[in-house]
Amino acid sequence: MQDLMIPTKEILEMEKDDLEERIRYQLDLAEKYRDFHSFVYLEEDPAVLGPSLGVKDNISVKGKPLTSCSRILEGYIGTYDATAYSKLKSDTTFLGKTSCDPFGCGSSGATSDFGRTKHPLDPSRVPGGSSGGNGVALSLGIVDLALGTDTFGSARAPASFCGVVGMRPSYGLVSRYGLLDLSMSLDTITPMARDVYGIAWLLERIYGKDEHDLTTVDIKLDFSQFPVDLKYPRIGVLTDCFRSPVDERISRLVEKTIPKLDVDIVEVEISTSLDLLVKAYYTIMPVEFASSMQRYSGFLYGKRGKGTHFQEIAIETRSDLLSPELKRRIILGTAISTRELRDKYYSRALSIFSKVREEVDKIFKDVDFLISPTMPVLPWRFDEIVDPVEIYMMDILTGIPPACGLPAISIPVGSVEGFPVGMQIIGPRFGDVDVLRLARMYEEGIA
Amino acid sequence: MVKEMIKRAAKIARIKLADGESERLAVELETIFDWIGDLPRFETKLEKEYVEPRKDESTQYAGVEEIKSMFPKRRGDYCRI
Repeated sequence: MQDLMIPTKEILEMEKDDLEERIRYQLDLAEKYRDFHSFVYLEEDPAVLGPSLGVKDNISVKGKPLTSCSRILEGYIGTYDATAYSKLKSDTTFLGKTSCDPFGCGSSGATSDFGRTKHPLDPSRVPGGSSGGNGVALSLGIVDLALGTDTFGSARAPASFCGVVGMRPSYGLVSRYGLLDLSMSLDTITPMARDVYGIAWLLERIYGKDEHDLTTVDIKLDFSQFPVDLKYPRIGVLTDCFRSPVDERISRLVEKTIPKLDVDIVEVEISTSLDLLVKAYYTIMPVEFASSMQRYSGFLYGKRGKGTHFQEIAIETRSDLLSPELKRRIILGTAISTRELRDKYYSRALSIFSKVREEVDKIFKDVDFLISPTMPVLPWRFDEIVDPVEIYMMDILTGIPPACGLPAISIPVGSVEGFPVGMQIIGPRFGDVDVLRLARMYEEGIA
Repeated sequence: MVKEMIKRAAKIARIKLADGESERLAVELETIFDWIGDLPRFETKLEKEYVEPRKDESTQYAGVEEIKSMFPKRRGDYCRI
Protein backbone atom coordinates (compact mmCIF):
# COMPACT_ATOMS: atom_id res chain seq x y z
CA MET A 1 0.00 0.00 0.00
CA GLN A 2 1.43 3.37 -0.99
CA ASP A 3 1.21 6.49 1.13
CA LEU A 4 0.17 8.75 -1.70
CA MET A 5 0.16 11.97 0.27
CA ILE A 6 3.83 12.05 1.29
CA PRO A 7 5.63 15.39 0.73
CA THR A 8 6.87 16.06 -2.81
CA LYS A 9 10.44 16.33 -1.51
CA GLU A 10 10.32 12.68 -0.41
CA ILE A 11 8.91 11.57 -3.77
CA LEU A 12 11.76 13.35 -5.51
CA GLU A 13 14.26 11.47 -3.36
CA MET A 14 12.76 8.00 -4.02
CA GLU A 15 14.79 5.14 -5.45
CA LYS A 16 13.80 4.13 -8.98
CA ASP A 17 12.20 0.83 -7.91
CA ASP A 18 10.02 2.57 -5.33
CA LEU A 19 9.05 5.20 -7.85
CA GLU A 20 8.10 2.56 -10.42
CA GLU A 21 5.92 0.83 -7.85
CA ARG A 22 4.31 4.14 -6.88
CA ILE A 23 3.50 4.99 -10.48
CA ARG A 24 1.98 1.56 -11.15
CA TYR A 25 -0.19 2.12 -8.10
CA GLN A 26 -1.20 5.56 -9.35
CA LEU A 27 -2.19 4.11 -12.74
CA ASP A 28 -4.40 1.55 -10.97
CA LEU A 29 -5.89 4.36 -8.95
CA ALA A 30 -6.62 6.35 -12.12
CA GLU A 31 -8.55 3.32 -13.38
CA LYS A 32 -10.39 2.97 -10.07
CA TYR A 33 -11.41 6.63 -10.08
CA ARG A 34 -12.19 6.76 -13.80
CA ASP A 35 -15.70 8.09 -13.09
CA PHE A 36 -14.21 11.28 -11.68
CA HIS A 37 -13.02 12.12 -15.22
CA SER A 38 -9.81 13.74 -14.10
CA PHE A 39 -8.03 12.47 -17.22
CA VAL A 40 -8.99 12.59 -20.88
CA TYR A 41 -5.97 10.52 -21.88
CA LEU A 42 -3.94 8.14 -19.73
CA GLU A 43 -0.58 6.57 -20.65
CA GLU A 44 -0.67 2.78 -20.55
CA ASP A 45 2.99 2.11 -19.98
CA PRO A 46 4.78 5.35 -19.11
CA ALA A 47 8.56 5.64 -19.00
CA VAL A 48 9.38 6.25 -15.33
CA LEU A 49 11.82 9.16 -15.12
CA GLY A 50 10.62 10.98 -12.01
CA PRO A 51 7.46 11.94 -10.14
CA SER A 52 4.18 11.51 -12.04
CA LEU A 53 3.00 14.49 -14.04
CA GLY A 54 -0.42 15.33 -15.45
CA VAL A 55 -0.61 17.88 -18.24
CA LYS A 56 -3.79 19.89 -18.85
CA ASP A 57 -5.27 19.05 -22.21
CA ASN A 58 -4.79 22.55 -23.63
CA ILE A 59 -0.98 22.16 -23.48
CA SER A 60 0.76 20.41 -26.35
CA VAL A 61 2.76 17.21 -25.84
CA LYS A 62 4.23 15.74 -29.00
CA GLY A 63 2.47 12.57 -30.16
CA LYS A 64 -0.26 12.76 -27.50
CA PRO A 65 -3.90 13.83 -27.84
CA LEU A 66 -4.47 17.59 -27.70
CA THR A 67 -8.19 18.37 -27.63
CA SER A 68 -8.56 21.14 -25.04
CA CYS A 69 -11.53 18.96 -24.05
CA SER A 70 -13.51 20.26 -27.03
CA ARG A 71 -15.13 18.09 -29.69
CA ILE A 72 -13.77 20.42 -32.36
CA LEU A 73 -10.28 19.01 -31.70
CA GLU A 74 -11.31 15.40 -31.10
CA GLY A 75 -8.67 13.05 -32.48
CA TYR A 76 -6.06 15.80 -32.88
CA ILE A 77 -2.52 14.85 -31.83
CA GLY A 78 0.03 17.41 -30.61
CA THR A 79 2.85 17.91 -33.10
CA TYR A 80 5.39 19.46 -30.75
CA ASP A 81 6.17 19.84 -27.06
CA ALA A 82 5.13 23.00 -25.26
CA THR A 83 8.27 24.68 -23.89
CA ALA A 84 7.17 24.23 -20.26
CA TYR A 85 6.62 20.52 -20.78
CA SER A 86 9.86 20.08 -22.75
CA LYS A 87 11.76 21.39 -19.71
CA LEU A 88 10.17 18.72 -17.51
CA LYS A 89 10.03 15.67 -19.73
CA SER A 90 13.38 14.20 -18.73
CA ASP A 91 12.74 14.56 -14.96
CA THR A 92 9.10 13.48 -14.69
CA THR A 93 6.84 10.61 -15.68
CA PHE A 94 4.17 11.81 -18.09
CA LEU A 95 0.98 10.11 -16.93
CA GLY A 96 -1.52 11.68 -19.29
CA LYS A 97 -3.66 14.65 -20.28
CA THR A 98 -5.98 16.07 -17.64
CA SER A 99 -9.50 17.27 -18.08
CA CYS A 100 -10.57 20.91 -18.26
CA ASP A 101 -13.35 23.19 -19.41
CA PRO A 102 -13.09 23.42 -23.21
CA PHE A 103 -10.27 25.84 -24.13
CA GLY A 104 -10.14 26.88 -20.48
CA CYS A 105 -13.59 28.51 -20.72
CA GLY A 106 -15.10 27.90 -17.32
CA SER A 107 -14.80 28.31 -13.58
CA SER A 108 -16.44 25.00 -12.70
CA GLY A 109 -13.91 22.64 -14.28
CA ALA A 110 -16.82 20.36 -15.05
CA THR A 111 -17.83 21.16 -18.61
CA SER A 112 -15.43 19.04 -20.70
CA ASP A 113 -17.09 17.74 -23.86
CA PHE A 114 -15.78 14.28 -22.93
CA GLY A 115 -17.31 13.79 -19.48
CA ARG A 116 -18.07 15.78 -16.39
CA THR A 117 -15.13 16.11 -13.96
CA LYS A 118 -16.26 15.61 -10.37
CA HIS A 119 -15.13 16.98 -7.04
CA PRO A 120 -12.89 14.48 -5.20
CA LEU A 121 -14.84 14.71 -1.92
CA ASP A 122 -18.35 14.90 -3.32
CA PRO A 123 -18.99 13.71 -6.89
CA SER A 124 -22.17 15.77 -7.08
CA ARG A 125 -20.13 18.98 -6.98
CA VAL A 126 -17.76 20.85 -9.29
CA PRO A 127 -13.98 20.64 -8.79
CA GLY A 128 -13.33 24.27 -9.85
CA GLY A 129 -11.79 25.23 -13.12
CA SER A 130 -10.82 25.35 -15.69
CA SER A 131 -7.87 23.13 -14.62
CA GLY A 132 -10.32 20.86 -12.76
CA GLY A 133 -8.72 17.58 -13.83
CA ASN A 134 -5.43 18.62 -12.23
CA GLY A 135 -7.12 19.52 -8.95
CA VAL A 136 -8.94 16.19 -8.80
CA ALA A 137 -5.96 14.04 -9.89
CA LEU A 138 -3.66 15.71 -7.33
CA SER A 139 -6.22 15.48 -4.57
CA LEU A 140 -6.89 11.78 -5.21
CA GLY A 141 -3.16 11.06 -5.36
CA ILE A 142 -3.24 9.94 -9.02
CA VAL A 143 -0.46 12.40 -9.90
CA ASP A 144 2.20 14.14 -7.84
CA LEU A 145 2.70 17.19 -10.05
CA ALA A 146 0.72 18.90 -12.77
CA LEU A 147 0.93 21.58 -15.42
CA GLY A 148 -2.18 23.67 -15.75
CA THR A 149 -3.07 27.09 -17.04
CA ASP A 150 -4.44 30.20 -15.38
CA THR A 151 -6.05 33.07 -17.26
CA PHE A 152 -8.26 34.65 -14.58
CA GLY A 153 -8.09 31.98 -11.87
CA SER A 154 -8.14 28.65 -13.72
CA ALA A 155 -5.40 27.01 -11.61
CA ARG A 156 -6.11 28.77 -8.32
CA ALA A 157 -9.83 27.93 -8.32
CA PRO A 158 -9.44 24.13 -8.57
CA ALA A 159 -6.50 24.30 -6.15
CA SER A 160 -8.79 26.00 -3.64
CA PHE A 161 -11.76 23.68 -4.16
CA CYS A 162 -9.70 20.46 -4.16
CA GLY A 163 -7.33 21.33 -1.31
CA VAL A 164 -4.11 21.46 -3.34
CA VAL A 165 -1.66 24.21 -4.35
CA GLY A 166 -1.76 26.13 -7.63
CA MET A 167 0.35 29.08 -8.64
CA ARG A 168 -0.02 31.61 -11.38
CA PRO A 169 3.50 32.90 -12.14
CA SER A 170 4.23 36.51 -13.13
CA TYR A 171 3.18 37.09 -16.73
CA GLY A 172 6.24 36.57 -18.92
CA LEU A 173 8.04 34.26 -16.50
CA VAL A 174 6.93 30.97 -18.08
CA SER A 175 6.67 30.47 -21.83
CA ARG A 176 3.17 30.04 -23.27
CA TYR A 177 4.52 28.32 -26.36
CA GLY A 178 2.41 25.22 -26.96
CA LEU A 179 -0.62 26.49 -25.04
CA LEU A 180 -3.94 26.72 -26.89
CA ASP A 181 -4.99 30.33 -26.28
CA LEU A 182 -7.95 31.47 -24.29
CA SER A 183 -6.88 35.08 -23.84
CA MET A 184 -3.31 35.59 -24.99
CA SER A 185 -2.59 38.75 -22.99
CA LEU A 186 -3.58 37.03 -19.73
CA ASP A 187 -2.87 33.29 -20.18
CA THR A 188 -0.11 31.63 -18.14
CA ILE A 189 1.09 28.05 -17.82
CA THR A 190 0.96 27.18 -14.15
CA PRO A 191 2.51 24.64 -11.79
CA MET A 192 0.17 22.65 -9.53
CA ALA A 193 1.11 20.24 -6.73
CA ARG A 194 0.04 19.03 -3.29
CA ASP A 195 2.56 21.25 -1.51
CA VAL A 196 4.52 24.46 -2.04
CA TYR A 197 7.78 22.55 -2.47
CA GLY A 198 6.31 20.82 -5.53
CA ILE A 199 5.35 24.19 -7.02
CA ALA A 200 8.86 25.58 -6.45
CA TRP A 201 10.43 22.48 -8.00
CA LEU A 202 8.27 22.82 -11.11
CA LEU A 203 8.65 26.58 -11.43
CA GLU A 204 12.41 26.46 -11.10
CA ARG A 205 12.51 24.17 -14.15
CA ILE A 206 9.90 25.74 -16.40
CA TYR A 207 10.62 29.46 -16.06
CA GLY A 208 12.84 31.45 -18.39
CA LYS A 209 13.16 33.28 -21.66
CA ASP A 210 11.91 31.43 -24.71
CA GLU A 211 12.49 32.56 -28.27
CA HIS A 212 9.11 31.05 -29.22
CA ASP A 213 7.24 33.38 -26.88
CA LEU A 214 8.20 37.02 -27.20
CA THR A 215 6.39 37.96 -23.99
CA THR A 216 8.86 35.96 -21.89
CA VAL A 217 11.48 37.93 -20.02
CA ASP A 218 15.13 37.23 -19.41
CA ILE A 219 15.27 37.22 -15.64
CA LYS A 220 17.17 35.13 -13.11
CA LEU A 221 15.29 34.04 -10.02
CA ASP A 222 17.09 32.43 -7.13
CA PHE A 223 15.11 29.41 -6.01
CA SER A 224 17.93 28.36 -3.69
CA GLN A 225 16.58 31.14 -1.43
CA PHE A 226 13.31 29.25 -1.21
CA PRO A 227 13.81 27.59 2.22
CA VAL A 228 14.81 30.91 3.83
CA ASP A 229 12.05 32.50 5.88
CA LEU A 230 10.92 36.10 5.44
CA LYS A 231 11.16 38.53 8.37
CA TYR A 232 8.01 40.45 9.36
CA PRO A 233 6.43 40.66 5.92
CA ARG A 234 3.92 43.47 5.47
CA ILE A 235 0.62 41.95 4.43
CA GLY A 236 -1.98 44.03 2.64
CA VAL A 237 -5.50 42.83 3.26
CA LEU A 238 -7.84 43.97 0.51
CA THR A 239 -10.99 44.65 2.49
CA ASP A 240 -13.24 44.21 -0.57
CA CYS A 241 -12.11 40.59 -0.88
CA PHE A 242 -13.59 39.72 2.51
CA ARG A 243 -17.03 41.27 2.01
CA SER A 244 -20.18 40.00 0.35
CA PRO A 245 -20.56 38.13 -2.01
CA VAL A 246 -17.78 36.18 -0.28
CA ASP A 247 -19.10 33.45 2.06
CA GLU A 248 -18.58 34.79 5.60
CA ARG A 249 -17.25 31.46 6.84
CA ILE A 250 -14.52 31.55 4.18
CA SER A 251 -13.61 35.17 5.05
CA ARG A 252 -13.41 34.36 8.74
CA LEU A 253 -11.16 31.33 8.15
CA VAL A 254 -8.70 33.34 6.06
CA GLU A 255 -8.81 36.29 8.49
CA LYS A 256 -7.91 33.90 11.30
CA THR A 257 -5.07 32.38 9.29
CA ILE A 258 -3.21 35.58 8.35
CA PRO A 259 -1.98 36.46 11.87
CA LYS A 260 -0.71 32.91 12.51
CA LEU A 261 2.69 34.18 11.35
CA ASP A 262 4.60 37.14 12.66
CA VAL A 263 3.39 39.65 10.08
CA ASP A 264 2.41 43.31 9.85
CA ILE A 265 -1.14 43.60 8.63
CA VAL A 266 -2.32 46.67 6.74
CA GLU A 267 -5.87 47.13 5.44
CA VAL A 268 -5.84 48.35 1.85
CA GLU A 269 -8.45 49.32 -0.71
CA ILE A 270 -8.67 50.01 -4.40
CA SER A 271 -11.22 52.44 -5.77
CA THR A 272 -12.11 50.28 -8.77
CA SER A 273 -14.60 47.65 -7.69
CA LEU A 274 -13.67 44.00 -8.11
CA ASP A 275 -17.01 43.53 -9.77
CA LEU A 276 -16.04 46.02 -12.50
CA LEU A 277 -12.73 44.21 -12.95
CA VAL A 278 -14.55 40.94 -13.67
CA LYS A 279 -16.78 42.72 -16.17
CA ALA A 280 -13.71 44.17 -17.89
CA TYR A 281 -12.26 40.66 -18.12
CA TYR A 282 -15.44 39.27 -19.67
CA THR A 283 -15.09 42.02 -22.28
CA ILE A 284 -11.39 41.66 -23.12
CA MET A 285 -11.21 37.85 -23.00
CA PRO A 286 -14.05 37.14 -25.48
CA VAL A 287 -12.46 39.54 -27.99
CA GLU A 288 -9.10 37.75 -27.78
CA PHE A 289 -10.80 34.36 -27.69
CA ALA A 290 -12.98 35.02 -30.75
CA SER A 291 -9.86 36.05 -32.63
CA SER A 292 -7.78 33.00 -31.69
CA MET A 293 -10.69 30.60 -32.35
CA GLN A 294 -10.95 31.70 -35.98
CA ARG A 295 -8.33 29.06 -36.84
CA TYR A 296 -10.65 26.18 -35.95
CA SER A 297 -12.51 25.75 -39.18
CA GLY A 298 -12.05 22.03 -39.85
CA PHE A 299 -9.06 22.46 -42.15
CA LEU A 300 -5.89 22.81 -40.13
CA TYR A 301 -6.82 21.07 -36.90
CA GLY A 302 -9.22 18.48 -35.55
CA LYS A 303 -12.52 17.32 -36.91
CA ARG A 304 -14.15 18.51 -40.11
CA GLY A 305 -17.85 19.08 -40.71
CA LYS A 306 -19.72 18.29 -43.92
CA GLY A 307 -19.81 20.60 -46.90
CA THR A 308 -18.64 21.15 -50.44
CA HIS A 309 -16.63 24.35 -50.15
CA PHE A 310 -14.49 26.13 -47.56
CA GLN A 311 -17.09 28.47 -46.10
CA GLU A 312 -19.73 25.75 -45.84
CA ILE A 313 -17.32 23.31 -44.18
CA ALA A 314 -16.10 25.97 -41.72
CA ILE A 315 -19.66 26.92 -40.74
CA GLU A 316 -20.74 23.29 -40.34
CA THR A 317 -17.64 22.41 -38.30
CA ARG A 318 -17.93 25.34 -35.93
CA SER A 319 -21.71 25.22 -35.55
CA ASP A 320 -21.78 21.52 -34.80
CA LEU A 321 -18.66 21.06 -32.68
CA LEU A 322 -18.32 24.16 -30.50
CA SER A 323 -20.00 23.90 -27.08
CA PRO A 324 -22.64 26.47 -26.05
CA GLU A 325 -20.20 28.34 -23.77
CA LEU A 326 -17.61 28.58 -26.56
CA LYS A 327 -20.22 29.91 -28.99
CA ARG A 328 -21.40 32.40 -26.36
CA ARG A 329 -17.90 33.77 -25.84
CA ILE A 330 -17.02 33.84 -29.54
CA ILE A 331 -20.21 35.67 -30.49
CA LEU A 332 -19.88 38.08 -27.57
CA GLY A 333 -16.25 38.77 -28.51
CA THR A 334 -17.08 39.24 -32.17
CA ALA A 335 -19.90 41.66 -31.28
CA ILE A 336 -17.67 43.67 -28.93
CA SER A 337 -15.00 43.90 -31.66
CA THR A 338 -17.36 45.66 -34.05
CA ARG A 339 -16.88 49.38 -34.66
CA GLU A 340 -20.12 50.27 -32.87
CA LEU A 341 -19.20 48.57 -29.60
CA ARG A 342 -15.40 48.64 -29.54
CA ASP A 343 -15.04 52.04 -27.86
CA LYS A 344 -18.07 51.58 -25.69
CA TYR A 345 -16.86 48.34 -24.11
CA TYR A 346 -13.44 47.09 -25.19
CA SER A 347 -11.48 50.35 -24.80
CA ARG A 348 -13.16 50.99 -21.44
CA ALA A 349 -12.28 47.49 -20.26
CA LEU A 350 -8.63 48.08 -21.14
CA SER A 351 -8.71 51.37 -19.23
CA ILE A 352 -10.15 49.61 -16.19
CA PHE A 353 -7.25 47.13 -16.25
CA SER A 354 -4.77 50.06 -16.52
CA LYS A 355 -6.37 51.86 -13.61
CA VAL A 356 -6.26 48.75 -11.41
CA ARG A 357 -2.60 48.25 -12.36
CA GLU A 358 -1.76 51.82 -11.30
CA GLU A 359 -3.57 51.41 -8.00
CA VAL A 360 -2.06 48.03 -7.19
CA ASP A 361 1.44 49.30 -8.07
CA LYS A 362 0.95 52.05 -5.50
CA ILE A 363 -0.26 49.56 -2.89
CA PHE A 364 2.87 47.46 -3.39
CA LYS A 365 4.99 50.45 -2.35
CA ASP A 366 3.57 49.99 1.16
CA VAL A 367 3.12 46.24 1.43
CA ASP A 368 5.03 43.10 0.41
CA PHE A 369 2.03 40.87 -0.31
CA LEU A 370 -1.71 40.97 -0.71
CA ILE A 371 -3.78 38.21 0.85
CA SER A 372 -7.39 37.20 0.29
CA PRO A 373 -9.54 34.08 0.04
CA THR A 374 -9.14 32.42 -3.37
CA MET A 375 -12.79 31.58 -4.06
CA PRO A 376 -15.87 33.37 -2.75
CA VAL A 377 -17.92 30.19 -2.24
CA LEU A 378 -17.60 26.46 -1.55
CA PRO A 379 -17.73 24.02 -4.50
CA TRP A 380 -21.26 24.19 -5.84
CA ARG A 381 -23.50 21.31 -6.95
CA PHE A 382 -23.85 20.60 -10.65
CA ASP A 383 -26.84 22.50 -11.99
CA GLU A 384 -27.01 24.56 -8.80
CA ILE A 385 -25.54 27.51 -10.69
CA VAL A 386 -26.29 27.65 -14.41
CA ASP A 387 -26.62 31.36 -15.10
CA PRO A 388 -23.46 32.42 -17.04
CA VAL A 389 -23.14 35.75 -15.20
CA GLU A 390 -23.38 34.05 -11.82
CA ILE A 391 -20.61 31.66 -12.86
CA TYR A 392 -18.47 34.50 -14.26
CA MET A 393 -18.70 36.25 -10.88
CA MET A 394 -16.93 33.30 -9.27
CA ASP A 395 -13.72 34.89 -10.64
CA ILE A 396 -14.19 37.97 -8.47
CA LEU A 397 -11.21 37.30 -6.16
CA THR A 398 -8.73 35.93 -8.67
CA GLY A 399 -8.76 38.87 -11.13
CA ILE A 400 -6.15 41.27 -9.75
CA PRO A 401 -3.05 39.11 -10.53
CA PRO A 402 -3.88 38.56 -14.23
CA ALA A 403 -4.97 42.17 -14.73
CA CYS A 404 -1.63 43.33 -13.30
CA GLY A 405 0.65 40.47 -14.47
CA LEU A 406 1.40 39.49 -10.84
CA PRO A 407 2.28 36.12 -9.29
CA ALA A 408 -0.35 34.53 -7.04
CA ILE A 409 -0.61 31.23 -5.24
CA SER A 410 -3.54 29.42 -3.62
CA ILE A 411 -2.77 27.24 -0.60
CA PRO A 412 -5.22 25.23 1.51
CA VAL A 413 -5.80 26.76 4.94
CA GLY A 414 -8.63 24.71 6.41
CA SER A 415 -12.14 23.63 5.61
CA VAL A 416 -15.76 24.72 5.82
CA GLU A 417 -18.49 22.06 5.81
CA GLY A 418 -15.72 19.55 5.11
CA PHE A 419 -14.65 21.28 1.87
CA PRO A 420 -11.15 22.73 1.53
CA VAL A 421 -10.70 26.50 1.52
CA GLY A 422 -7.82 28.22 -0.28
CA MET A 423 -5.99 31.39 0.68
CA GLN A 424 -4.50 33.51 -2.08
CA ILE A 425 -1.12 35.23 -1.70
CA ILE A 426 -0.29 37.84 -4.34
CA GLY A 427 3.20 39.29 -4.78
CA PRO A 428 4.72 42.10 -6.83
CA ARG A 429 5.74 41.35 -10.42
CA PHE A 430 8.56 38.78 -10.49
CA GLY A 431 8.32 38.42 -6.73
CA ASP A 432 7.50 34.76 -7.38
CA VAL A 433 10.19 33.37 -5.08
CA ASP A 434 9.00 35.47 -2.14
CA VAL A 435 5.41 34.37 -2.77
CA LEU A 436 6.62 30.78 -2.52
CA ARG A 437 8.57 31.53 0.65
CA LEU A 438 5.57 33.08 2.40
CA ALA A 439 3.28 30.29 1.16
CA ARG A 440 5.66 27.70 2.60
CA MET A 441 5.80 29.55 5.92
CA TYR A 442 1.99 29.44 6.12
CA GLU A 443 1.96 25.81 5.02
CA GLU A 444 4.27 24.93 7.91
CA GLY A 445 2.63 27.34 10.35
CA ILE A 446 -0.80 25.83 9.76
CA ALA A 447 0.30 22.19 9.76
CA MET B 1 -31.49 44.88 -31.15
CA VAL B 2 -29.41 42.24 -29.35
CA LYS B 3 -30.96 39.60 -31.62
CA GLU B 4 -29.87 41.52 -34.71
CA MET B 5 -26.37 42.00 -33.29
CA ILE B 6 -26.05 38.29 -32.49
CA LYS B 7 -27.15 37.37 -35.98
CA ARG B 8 -24.48 39.64 -37.46
CA ALA B 9 -21.72 38.52 -35.06
CA ALA B 10 -22.57 34.84 -35.60
CA LYS B 11 -22.27 35.34 -39.35
CA ILE B 12 -18.84 36.97 -38.98
CA ALA B 13 -17.78 34.18 -36.58
CA ARG B 14 -19.00 31.53 -39.05
CA ILE B 15 -21.48 29.99 -36.62
CA LYS B 16 -24.93 28.96 -37.72
CA LEU B 17 -27.38 29.03 -34.83
CA ALA B 18 -30.27 26.62 -34.65
CA ASP B 19 -33.71 28.14 -33.96
CA GLY B 20 -33.87 27.50 -30.22
CA GLU B 21 -30.16 28.21 -29.82
CA SER B 22 -30.45 31.67 -31.28
CA GLU B 23 -33.26 32.64 -28.89
CA ARG B 24 -31.45 31.24 -25.87
CA LEU B 25 -28.25 33.04 -26.80
CA ALA B 26 -30.13 36.30 -27.30
CA VAL B 27 -31.49 36.08 -23.75
CA GLU B 28 -28.07 35.15 -22.31
CA LEU B 29 -26.18 37.84 -24.18
CA GLU B 30 -28.78 40.44 -23.29
CA THR B 31 -28.15 39.53 -19.64
CA ILE B 32 -24.39 39.78 -20.18
CA PHE B 33 -24.70 43.18 -21.90
CA ASP B 34 -26.89 44.42 -19.05
CA TRP B 35 -24.28 43.12 -16.63
CA ILE B 36 -21.37 44.90 -18.34
CA GLY B 37 -23.60 47.93 -18.90
CA ASP B 38 -21.59 50.10 -16.49
CA LEU B 39 -18.41 49.80 -18.57
CA PRO B 40 -19.39 52.63 -20.96
CA ARG B 41 -19.78 54.90 -17.92
CA PHE B 42 -16.15 54.33 -16.89
CA GLU B 43 -14.28 57.55 -17.59
CA THR B 44 -10.94 56.94 -19.23
CA LYS B 45 -7.81 58.92 -18.41
CA LEU B 46 -7.94 60.65 -21.79
CA GLU B 47 -11.45 61.85 -21.09
CA LYS B 48 -10.56 63.08 -17.63
CA GLU B 49 -7.38 64.89 -18.57
CA TYR B 50 -7.81 66.80 -21.81
CA VAL B 51 -4.93 66.14 -24.17
CA GLU B 52 -4.20 68.49 -27.05
CA PRO B 53 -4.57 66.45 -30.25
CA ARG B 54 -1.34 66.10 -32.20
CA LYS B 55 -1.32 68.07 -35.40
CA ASP B 56 -0.85 66.16 -38.60
CA GLU B 57 2.90 65.96 -39.05
CA SER B 58 2.86 63.70 -42.06
CA THR B 59 3.67 66.46 -44.54
CA GLN B 60 6.98 67.17 -42.79
CA TYR B 61 8.45 64.01 -44.19
CA ALA B 62 9.69 63.95 -47.73
CA GLY B 63 8.13 61.36 -49.93
CA VAL B 64 5.12 60.76 -47.69
CA GLU B 65 2.71 62.32 -50.17
CA GLU B 66 4.19 60.17 -52.91
CA ILE B 67 3.76 57.01 -50.81
CA LYS B 68 0.23 58.04 -49.90
CA SER B 69 -0.63 58.43 -53.56
CA MET B 70 0.50 54.86 -54.16
CA PHE B 71 -2.32 53.46 -52.04
CA PRO B 72 -5.57 52.64 -53.78
CA LYS B 73 -7.87 55.64 -53.46
CA ARG B 74 -10.40 54.00 -51.15
CA ARG B 75 -7.82 52.90 -48.64
CA GLY B 76 -6.73 56.52 -48.18
CA ASP B 77 -9.84 57.05 -46.07
CA TYR B 78 -8.59 54.99 -43.22
CA CYS B 79 -4.90 54.46 -43.90
CA ARG B 80 -2.85 57.04 -42.05
CA ILE B 81 0.88 57.30 -42.39
